[in-house]
Amino acid sequence: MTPTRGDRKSWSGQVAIAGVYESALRKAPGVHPFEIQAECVLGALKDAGLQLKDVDGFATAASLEAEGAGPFAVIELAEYLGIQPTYIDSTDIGGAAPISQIGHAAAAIAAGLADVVVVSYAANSYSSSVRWGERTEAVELEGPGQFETPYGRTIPAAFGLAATRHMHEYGTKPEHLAQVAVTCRTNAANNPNARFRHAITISDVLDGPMISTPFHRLDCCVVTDSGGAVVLMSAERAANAPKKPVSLLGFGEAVHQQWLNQAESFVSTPGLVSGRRAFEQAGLTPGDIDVAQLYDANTFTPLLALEDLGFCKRGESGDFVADGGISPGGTLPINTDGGGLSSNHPGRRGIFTVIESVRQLRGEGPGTQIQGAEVALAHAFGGELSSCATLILGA
Amino acid sequence: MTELDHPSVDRPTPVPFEGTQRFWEEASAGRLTLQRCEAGHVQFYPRRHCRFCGETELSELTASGEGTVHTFSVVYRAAHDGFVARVPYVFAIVDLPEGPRVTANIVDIDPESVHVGMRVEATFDDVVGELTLPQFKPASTGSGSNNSHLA
Repeated sequence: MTPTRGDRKSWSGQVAIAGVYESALRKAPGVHPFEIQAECVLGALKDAGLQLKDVDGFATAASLEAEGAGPFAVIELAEYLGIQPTYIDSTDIGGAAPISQIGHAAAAIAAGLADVVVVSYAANSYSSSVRWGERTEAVELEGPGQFETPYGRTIPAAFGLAATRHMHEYGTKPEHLAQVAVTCRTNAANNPNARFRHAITISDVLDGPMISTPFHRLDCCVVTDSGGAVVLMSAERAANAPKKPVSLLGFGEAVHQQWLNQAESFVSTPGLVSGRRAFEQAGLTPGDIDVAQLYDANTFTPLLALEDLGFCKRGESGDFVADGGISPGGTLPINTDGGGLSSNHPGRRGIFTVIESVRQLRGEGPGTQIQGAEVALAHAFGGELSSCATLILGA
Repeated sequence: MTELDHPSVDRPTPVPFEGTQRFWEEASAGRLTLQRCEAGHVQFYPRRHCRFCGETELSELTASGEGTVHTFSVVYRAAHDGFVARVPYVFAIVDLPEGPRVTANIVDIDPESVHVGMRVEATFDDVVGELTLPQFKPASTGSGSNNSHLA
């Protein structure tokens, strides 16, 4: 079907992911992030039955600490890999960037701008000695950041104050947050590569050291050296791929603010917009989703995602979780590989939410496999409540 | 004595530019300034245009200094070396009655006593390098305002 100008729905179902790869690495001192990216790109291409020479489009985000590159990251990575792409994207909206790049690549493939696009990501955050934010701090202090950075903003504090507001407005409890960590850990139990697999209880979470209220240590994601990559192509071409391709049904992205003092709300996020756009394009509703990967930088972001995406009403995510909604047998199983809270988080978890979605739809989930999953959703935040990107995939 | 009696030279320090110079000058004089556009929008942080409507005719508005804690987090593990000695400290978003929100630390109070909705007032004792960093402390009983904003 010829895409019609302005018709987003036109590429729904026209593009597929034919290959995915997540590195088994979690602690890899001495390994450069580019080496991990190459492992993942080659692994994803092999999964798709392709080689480097077949790639004409490339996207990555690698200009932050522990990611190995500077501002021209996508150029340097393309050079390192050995490709000279004619479709390029280095959109950087934080942890949601890989999902955003996948959405852009899908539109490009549908428009005939590229045939085979690789989207990849890697970082060595566990082994890197550079503090997150260190390289950009000087620039922040010369700009609007001069009104926030001097007050000691940390990533957990930024999300923590949002969680605090949610608890104030809706009565969300620390036990609700802890349940998210327990569920992710349960899903990680069978994932051979997960950073942490041993079972934890709500008490284990609440008795741990406080990082920034209301987050205890186990409320915060793991930090790893790792990476992942996906290979996109037209659905037509993917039909010949060695493994079952997964169709992209809907995509949305939205950006709200960088600095917390500019935020209009701390209990809703750009996910309200990215989710709505993804569901609209796919012609689906939350009830159609069999399994969801909701970026868990901490135990609170999945609660926000449940509400923003419409899986439960605003303010009711705590009860939804307490009633078992996100557990493997629940209404909406999430983070089936263990998520960022237990499996893998080198920096931008967006790529892994898509990889796990594909694995679930193929029946290859390494942690908990949701039987008969046919529609999956991958959702990520970027920065702290700054941006969101949502992707809906179908078997 | 407050937790501000630590060497402050290592904390990230604002680097004013022409568009923000006025804010920092007024802060050193004990005043919190905002901008108002011709259409009546009040904004913070300062820009050359109104972020709500694009209007470029902006005037200065001195805030009352009153505020309410919109939300906060008590930081137990600092990310930046300059804050390690201050742990635990309160990282907060304060609602101003004039409309905007500001980022601040809540000082002169046990961090665990801070709560959402708490009335606070601006204080200008926190000197970082050559600048004064506006902070907020519990509002004094009664009017809750200080008189540092009087013209």
